[in-house]
Amino acid sequence: MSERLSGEHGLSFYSVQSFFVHLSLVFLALIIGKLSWDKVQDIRNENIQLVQNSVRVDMVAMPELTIKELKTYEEPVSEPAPAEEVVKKEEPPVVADQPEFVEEKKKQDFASMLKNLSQKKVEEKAAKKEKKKDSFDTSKINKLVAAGNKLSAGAALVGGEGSAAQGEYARYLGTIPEAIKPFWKLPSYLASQDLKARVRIFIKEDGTLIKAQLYESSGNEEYDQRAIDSVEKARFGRIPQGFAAKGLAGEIVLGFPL
Amino acid sequence: MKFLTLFILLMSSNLMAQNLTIVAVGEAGVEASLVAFHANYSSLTGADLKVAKDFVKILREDFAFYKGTFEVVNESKTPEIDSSPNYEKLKSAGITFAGNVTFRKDGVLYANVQLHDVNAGKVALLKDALVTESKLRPSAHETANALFKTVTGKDSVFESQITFVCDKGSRGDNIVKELYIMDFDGKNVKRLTNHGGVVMSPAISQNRKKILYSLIQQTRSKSRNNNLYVLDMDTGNSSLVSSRSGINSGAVFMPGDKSIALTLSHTGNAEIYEVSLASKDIIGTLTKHSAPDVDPSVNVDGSKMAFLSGRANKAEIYIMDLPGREKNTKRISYVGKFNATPRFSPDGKELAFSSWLDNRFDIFRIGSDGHNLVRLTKDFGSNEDPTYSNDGQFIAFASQRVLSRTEAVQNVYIMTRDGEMIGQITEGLGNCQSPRWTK
Repeated sequence: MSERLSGEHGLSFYSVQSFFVHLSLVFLALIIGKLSWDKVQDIRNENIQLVQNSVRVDMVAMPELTIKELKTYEEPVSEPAPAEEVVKKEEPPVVADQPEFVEEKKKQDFASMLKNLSQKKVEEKAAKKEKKKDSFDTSKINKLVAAGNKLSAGAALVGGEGSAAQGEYARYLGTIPEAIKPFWKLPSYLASQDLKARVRIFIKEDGTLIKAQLYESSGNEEYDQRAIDSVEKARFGRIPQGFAAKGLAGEIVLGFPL
Repeated sequence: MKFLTLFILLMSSNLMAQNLTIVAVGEAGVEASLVAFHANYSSLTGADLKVAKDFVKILREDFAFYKGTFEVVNESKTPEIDSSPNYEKLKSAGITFAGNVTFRKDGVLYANVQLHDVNAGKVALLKDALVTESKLRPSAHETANALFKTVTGKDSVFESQITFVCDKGSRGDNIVKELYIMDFDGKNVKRLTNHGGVVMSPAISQNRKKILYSLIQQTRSKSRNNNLYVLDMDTGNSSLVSSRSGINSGAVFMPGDKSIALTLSHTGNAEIYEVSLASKDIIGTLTKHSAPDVDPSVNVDGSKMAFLSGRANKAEIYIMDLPGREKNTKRISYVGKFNATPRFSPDGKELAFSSWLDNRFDIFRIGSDGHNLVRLTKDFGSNEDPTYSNDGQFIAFASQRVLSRTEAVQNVYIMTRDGEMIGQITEGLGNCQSPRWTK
């Protein structure tokens, strides 16, 4: 009797308990699924970023513009850089931030992504050719110099280090020398002395210089001053999100020349 | 021990906390330095005055040759500079180096040049030079080089020479090309050969004592082979080095000037060989490929040879590490319809070459790692045969202008390694080509 009763009582009790247990299992599964899906997505995004970081491009034609012509181009004000950004270069290549571009490529495998990347460039290049004079992007002279006039996907892959965000920060650091170079000039009597100085810079998130501080002196006052002057004349870009603290804390030290 | 570990840990965490990233800005660009030369000609008359003025003119012109590195103050605007000038005044005029040239007659005329380092406020160099009619140019160039070296710490091009080929003396279809040599500034031109034939692709030894060249002799017989000769600059005599059947051409000196790299086609396929100048025998096979390999260029220390090869079914540039020969051969150029005459910079870090683009040749430059291809000439006629100056800052080349449908003129020009034109160097010698700068 008591067994039957307890059984009947137990049935509803157990079924409620079972319901909640199963419900929580479902939730748990959902949560784990969501978490792991996010993780997979993160890894995927990161990989795509890394691949973008490491895509090198081969030259397929002789450069048409002379180095002199390239030098006379003016630098436009912080315009998002087009596909020509991806070029064969010693330094980590600077790839424009194109979030949408990354998005739509997400589902594709690596090979087709590369293929698309290359097609995209050729199209853009073709469009560019028609109105070369006025539409030619001039922001990155050095890269153009190496770029030739047509680009295709390169075969060499050199993986970057660290995470995608790190890569973004590394790319930002890569833009700093280019900002300074136009103002970093020495007369021959200083250039011949093989001097070396380091300047520590403190910058706000928007790229404004707070101060430039001599970190390692070359021993030559004029050399040190010229290095600091060049930093003060340069205009830096906005620091990538999440790295503003590094700029404020003065974690960037500039080597003149190394 | 534990303390030490703890200490090290703390230290490293401290360093970590600082987390400084060092970003290399790179080598600085060049800012032109203003230099001034003031001369005191008082007590000079007649021929002495003329030669003294020429001496100072050469100093000014030499420094002005380094356009972008130096700017020379006009004679009329040059302030008074004596043995103890007002440095502050010179500094405010933007002058960084000031020369004070005085002359003294002691049987022959001497120039005394005092170079003031304006920023340091002291004399940087004192130099005496013989100023005679016959020794004027070498003496002035030597002085200019000494001043240049004081300022920059490096040798200039002022004492270098360029050997080249001109067709002056050709009549109608009878083309005659002879070998010439001149100073870097186009002055002091001398003809070196008198073959009455066609001299081609010269090469000057590192000690400037010998010049190799190929020659097609004008003979009545039908065999017009392309043979290699060497000219002894001391005696002025030429002697045959190689007359193997086919090409004996594109020879360059190997370091030490004892042997040469030479393109030969006696086996049927053009390959580059090392030939001893003393024995005239082949002492090494540098290239070994079924495709033709021509036009060697060896860097100053002899570790690398650049050459042109048809192994990719078109003329492309390759670099060989000489000790490794074919095993260590790397293709450098991947573009261009037709690339020609790769020439190493003295330090071997880059190559200048000409390439066919838009129906003419133009000069390009590429790093010896295959990176950083840049174009140097454009809309400037057809440009071939680049050659680096001894200091690597300039490139001389042959430029051809079409005058009419039947007429064209070719001359030697010089530009900086960044394609900034310095000017035409040869004049009135007919068509001039194949410049080779002494290293």
